Amino acid sequence: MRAARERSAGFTLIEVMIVMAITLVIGAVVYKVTQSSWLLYRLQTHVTERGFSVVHAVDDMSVEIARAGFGLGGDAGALFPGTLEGVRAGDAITVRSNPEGVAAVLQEDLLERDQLVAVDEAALFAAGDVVLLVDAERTLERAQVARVGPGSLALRSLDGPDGRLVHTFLTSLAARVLKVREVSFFLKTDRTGAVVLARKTTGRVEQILARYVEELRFDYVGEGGEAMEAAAIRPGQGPRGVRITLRLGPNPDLPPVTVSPLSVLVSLESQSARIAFDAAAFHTIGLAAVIGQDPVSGAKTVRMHAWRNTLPRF
Amino acid sequence: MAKHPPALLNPKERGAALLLVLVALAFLMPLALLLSDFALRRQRQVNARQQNVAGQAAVRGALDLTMARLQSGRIVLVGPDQSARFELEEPETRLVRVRVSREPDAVVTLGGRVLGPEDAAELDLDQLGIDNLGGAVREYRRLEIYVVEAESPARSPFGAVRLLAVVARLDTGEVVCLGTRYDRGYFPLT
Repeated sequence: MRAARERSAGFTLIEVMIVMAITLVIGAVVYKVTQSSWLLYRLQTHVTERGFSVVHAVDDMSVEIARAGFGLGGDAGALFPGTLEGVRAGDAITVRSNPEGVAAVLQEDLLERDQLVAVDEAALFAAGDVVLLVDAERTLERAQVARVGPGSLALRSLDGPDGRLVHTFLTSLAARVLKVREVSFFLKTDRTGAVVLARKTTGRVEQILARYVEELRFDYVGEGGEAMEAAAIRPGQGPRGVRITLRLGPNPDLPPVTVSPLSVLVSLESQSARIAFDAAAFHTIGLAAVIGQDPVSGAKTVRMHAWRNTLPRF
Repeated sequence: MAKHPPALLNPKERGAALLLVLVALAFLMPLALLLSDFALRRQRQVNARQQNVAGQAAVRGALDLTMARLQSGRIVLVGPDQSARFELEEPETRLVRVRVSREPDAVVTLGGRVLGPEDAAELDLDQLGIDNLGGAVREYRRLEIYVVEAESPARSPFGAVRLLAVVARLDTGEVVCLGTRYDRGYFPLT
């Protein structure tokens, strides 16, 4: 009797159909959940990537802007509200510094391109170095070292046509030469047609910091915390801070997301001091210093340079 | 005689039930991990920016404090080979380590030159001149030079923030900053 029951044991057709139907429903639910999870994963990865891109790009710009003027002095145009080529623009900024502290004072008047002029500390420069020519009247010109002679330099302007100098630099105005590192942040369109945030540093290839940029804006803050017009920024009259606003759009190849903009105020450090030689501070010099560190030994070196300021006019 | 309660599962079906539970866990576990990963990533992203900004402000504050201590005489380093260290702990446990070291003195001239100790050894640093307005003008000024290094430790995903500054103490006791630089990465104080 028992043996006969075991032989006939099994599922009826209706049982099998019910099981198949339940399995199909569970399978459909699992498929939908997996599909939603995958979409959620892509969305969240996209949002996170966009968020990190904003944070890292703003952070990179903040560090460079905070270094503006390092080793240069307040009269050397540490910040320019525009591109490296000298075009003023609200969505570009160029910051200058002299991290190696390489500076020299002209011992002869510099009147034309390729003229070998005597300078102190000429040996610190090399042919091809990008330099700034500055004088006590805050005249500023970008140039490149064309040749280094014994105790002398020959220079070509980067602002004038064919390397011709736009200004003359006189020893009576304490003209000096400063090696300069320029970093520029600006927007451009890449090969795919996307608007990207690019960074160009002296002597380095261009670097893309973020893609699909919808807005990049630099607002300037004056000494008293008031808004400062970009047109008012010139050598010797710089802002006290820069507000960076960056808004990225979504990657069009990924599920659409909303990306929050980021706005950060960066304070500019005072990178030089004025040292008075009399009680009324009529006679002053400017003094700037840089500190470098040997990557191997970790030893730190300080380099300073000073410049004579003109007497105040009454 | 007491009866055993009826078994929920036939002993032969217990393996199938276990398998069902394992399959369910296998489906749910990745989903749970995925969702927790999202939450952590977003949280890290928000925290990272806050920590980073706070780190930069903290080391900047340490420089101001160091300059005030140099001016008030709370930090006194008598020779170029001397250094002092201290730590600042802010209420939100942001640690800032500070090292101040003295460098060789410098002498600056009225003409705008910087002289090292050897060049200045023979000079009369108290020498005065008279300008065209009849005022007394010094020819030289001696500066005590200090290097201030302030470091705030790393907070993932950003590295440590370090500030390096050159500070001068004038012969009048006034302390001025001559240059400041921020770096990111791992910079142990040496």
